[in-house]
Amino acid sequence: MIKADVNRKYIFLIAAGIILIFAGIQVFWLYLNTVSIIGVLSVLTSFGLTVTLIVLERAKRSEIDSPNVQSEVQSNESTEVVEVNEDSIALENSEICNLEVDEYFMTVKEELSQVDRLVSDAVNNLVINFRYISKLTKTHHDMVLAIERMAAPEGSKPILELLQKQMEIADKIEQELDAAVTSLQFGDLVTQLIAHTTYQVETLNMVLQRIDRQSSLKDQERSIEEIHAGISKAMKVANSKGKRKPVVQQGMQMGDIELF
Amino acid sequence: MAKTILAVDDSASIRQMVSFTLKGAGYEVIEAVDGQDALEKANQHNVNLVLTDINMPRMDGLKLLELLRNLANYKNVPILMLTTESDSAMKAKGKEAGATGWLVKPFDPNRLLEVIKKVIG
Repeated sequence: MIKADVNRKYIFLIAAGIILIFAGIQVFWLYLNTVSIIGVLSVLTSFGLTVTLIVLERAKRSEIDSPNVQSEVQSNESTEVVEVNEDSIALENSEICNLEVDEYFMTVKEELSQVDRLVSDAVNNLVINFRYISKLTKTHHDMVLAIERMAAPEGSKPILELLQKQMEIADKIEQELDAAVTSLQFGDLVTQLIAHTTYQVETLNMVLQRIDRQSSLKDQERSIEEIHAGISKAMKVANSKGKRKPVVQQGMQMGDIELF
Repeated sequence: MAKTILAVDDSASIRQMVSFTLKGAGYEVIEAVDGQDALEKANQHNVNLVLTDINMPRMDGLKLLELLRNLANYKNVPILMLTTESDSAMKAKGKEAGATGWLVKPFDPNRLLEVIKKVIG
């Protein structure tokens, strides 16, 4: 847009120069019969002015073409152009701000997703360990029973006592494994909470951006109170759009049971 | 003959814990990852009890409950909801849709077995 304006000015100046030369020639012809010095001077002045104008305009054009000084030249344009520039800078700043906010929320989402992956990975490993320990316990239990059966006919009291102790240990391990079944369900609870939080963050980001876009359209300059009101509105909308929290448990104690 | 239980949950760890508990007690367990999967498996097998989560992708537990109750062979099959949800409004919804009982996670394996024994013996 700015370059096109400069081109128009350039053409206009060349035309003005040509008109000036013609005017000079006419003055020259008027005074030709008298061989007046005024005619010669007018032609020379016309040529001089035209060349100066063209040289100056060329110098200006090369400055505009240079990217380093482009913004400076733009600021010297008409008031209208300056206003348009201010608006576009404000819009650009708003877009940069939105991008930053978007990036921030993306980071939060990525971190939540990382927590989810870590928890899932840990739970998977714990479940594998759990199953292995459980299998070993069962084998151990069966072995103790087999030894007990073999030792029984002999009636060796110390061996039977030892086996009894082994059985007690095996029972205790089984009890602990049962408790582990309850504790290992934490992965499911955490995953659901992460999914809920991710949804809340997404909703808040969406609402904040929408409100920001609406405000930008209305007015470029906003007071602190208006910005606060915007954030407050965003929070309210995000809360109203948010899903109900699916997990209210504060610990890993067993949940209620109700038969209808 | 061992009774068959259909365990429905999108969490692999929960499915494994439920299976571990039930298989240890002598039940046969069929696992399903969500309501849709459960519905397909319910049509393929003779199931004595359904133990289902609520919040699942594709099809949630309440929808599954509703669809199972519409099937002739699942009208009287006990369906237990095993969920993190403890909201009374949700429980009421489940009860209305035909749930047999409501168990809030995390479950205790012995208590779960007690309830199942009470329901299907």
